[in-house]
Amino acid sequence: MARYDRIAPLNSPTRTEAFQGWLALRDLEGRERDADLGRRARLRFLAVRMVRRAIREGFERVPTASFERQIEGVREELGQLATRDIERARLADFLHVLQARSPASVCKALLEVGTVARELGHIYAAEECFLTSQDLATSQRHASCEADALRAIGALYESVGRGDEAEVALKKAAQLALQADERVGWARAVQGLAALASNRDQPQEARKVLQSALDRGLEWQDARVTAIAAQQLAELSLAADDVEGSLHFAWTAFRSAPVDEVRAALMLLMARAFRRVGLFANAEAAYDAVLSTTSTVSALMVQAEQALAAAEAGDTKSFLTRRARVVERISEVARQPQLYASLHLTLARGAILTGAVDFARDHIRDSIATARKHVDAATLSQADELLSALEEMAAGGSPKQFKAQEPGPIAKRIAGEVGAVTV
Amino acid sequence: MAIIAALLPSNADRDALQAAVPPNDLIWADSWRELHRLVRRQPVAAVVTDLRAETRKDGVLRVFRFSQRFPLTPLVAWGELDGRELFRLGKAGASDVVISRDADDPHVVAGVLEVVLKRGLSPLLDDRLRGKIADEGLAVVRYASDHVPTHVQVPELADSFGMSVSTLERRCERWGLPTPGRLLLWLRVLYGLRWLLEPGRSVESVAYQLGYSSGAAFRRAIKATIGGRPSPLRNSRGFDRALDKFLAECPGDAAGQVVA
Repeated sequence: MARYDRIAPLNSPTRTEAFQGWLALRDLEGRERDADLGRRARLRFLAVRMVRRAIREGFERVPTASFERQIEGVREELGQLATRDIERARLADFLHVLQARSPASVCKALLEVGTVARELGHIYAAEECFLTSQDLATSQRHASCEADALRAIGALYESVGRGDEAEVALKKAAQLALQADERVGWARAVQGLAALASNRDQPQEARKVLQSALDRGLEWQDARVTAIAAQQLAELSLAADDVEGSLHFAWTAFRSAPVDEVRAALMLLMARAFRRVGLFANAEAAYDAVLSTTSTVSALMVQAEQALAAAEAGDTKSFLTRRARVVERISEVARQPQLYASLHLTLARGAILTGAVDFARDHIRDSIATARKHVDAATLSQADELLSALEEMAAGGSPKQFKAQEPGPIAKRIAGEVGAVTV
Repeated sequence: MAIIAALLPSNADRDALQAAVPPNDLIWADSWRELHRLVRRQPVAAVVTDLRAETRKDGVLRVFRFSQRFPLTPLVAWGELDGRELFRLGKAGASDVVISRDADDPHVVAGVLEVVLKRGLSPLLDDRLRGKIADEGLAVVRYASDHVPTHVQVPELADSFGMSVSTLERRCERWGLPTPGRLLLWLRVLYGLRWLLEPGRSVESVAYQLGYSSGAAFRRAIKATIGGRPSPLRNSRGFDRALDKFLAECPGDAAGQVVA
């Protein structure tokens, strides 16, 4: 072995230049000595390669014994990941589906594998999984699966600042979903396009797109489409500090949303809106309702927000208790950098409001370290803002007080009505 | 058929490769140096090499040097490769990989080799002909181009599209393509000129690689298509000129342009 690596400084090839599936390994760039990432990268590469083989030779034509042997080989390697590792579980599901050779199910399972990789901050692996899933759907002329894959690709590109490519993918996803008469898929693609417009500082464009989706949902009398559009409109309004508008859309959508998952997301949105206008008791109730339905990992974020709500309400004791509860379990999500950094930022905000400077410093430091490692510019800028607030306090300033807006008539009315429902 | 040069010190690996490739198509090298020599002198269409063929040497670096020297000859890396090695191989320019676990499965090995042998001219032709030729015509050009290294002939080409030779001829005329025979002649010439861009390749070795009985036969093919001799064409401008001449013989048809 050479004393220094002459390969490392070379430019990476594009996806089309390199051999099939190589993109799944590219997260190793600059982290070649990371043994755990190396193992994951190899497993993802092997998984993707089997799908590429099936695309090339045709699902029905791949010799059964040869294919089964490849699947078994990868399954044996799964043992290198911890038993409770979330990626191991997803890969095991994927192999199970692949064995059944149903292209549509393989498309979906591969999207799941990509989603886990994305949550772990491994963007290139996620991209390869999504693109391979799309290639498979295209080869099988499965419009609905292709739309799902394109939506995942669009969301991924948007999150890494590749807005133009995201737009192309999302527009095609919307078009294909309509072709396949997948109205929910169409609504989700439109939701992605609106989020893209919003991130490009074009809130009017985002609102226009969503309003047209809402109108179409009402025209179709499709409660799910209506709920998705209204949910996004509510988020947009909240981002623009229009709490009344946000609550109006969220509550309208909540009442018509047929799916628990959507209802929980809307309730979470309303909890945030209630906090903005100082209706902390209603926010608490809404958070409790969400917690009663949410899975373990997302629950941690809800608990952190609930802790922040206590800090905003000036209840230091509750904040500290809830913070301790979140901190106890925060290591469970250490492998999900975005969530991990967000949790620390949320707790840092609460700590600043309650004057817990040491805690605030620790949380900001952890979120910056994670965001730097995974090149998360948005989190870094938020952490910088908090750091400035912290420095002001250290220079003798008093703890920053949370200033709630005055609740308007819509907020008061909805707060009364929400109390009577469950998710 | 296409010739593959292999550097595989282990007998088990050699047996595994032989199970996937007809034995007459394989030539063996004992070192990287010999592998380079074989590629220069023989009509080699692809290379298979064990990354650990030479002890205490960085196999990936050897792959990089090979791909720098012979950028048009695909190289398949063979061996027990961890995530880091696979990543580095992609950067070094390997065309594909066979991991040890799959090595004794002839289906997998043959599939990998088929993919690398098909690389080359097809994407380039696809790009230049799209919008000019109807999709069915493009599919014929793509198939023909993919199979030139395996010495495809007109009857086989017609057969693979479920047509008789005369039907294929009529269709080619309708699509605005040269006759199937001339199409294959052109594709062989373009392939040959592309291979000649690699330093050290002789006209004779390229001619054999394309299925000609001698270098003179290949020279005659060049004269019948582009005119002149191969030597002045041994640069990328020469290849581009040849490609333009080929495209000029593919006028396409109105239907093809409407479809595009």
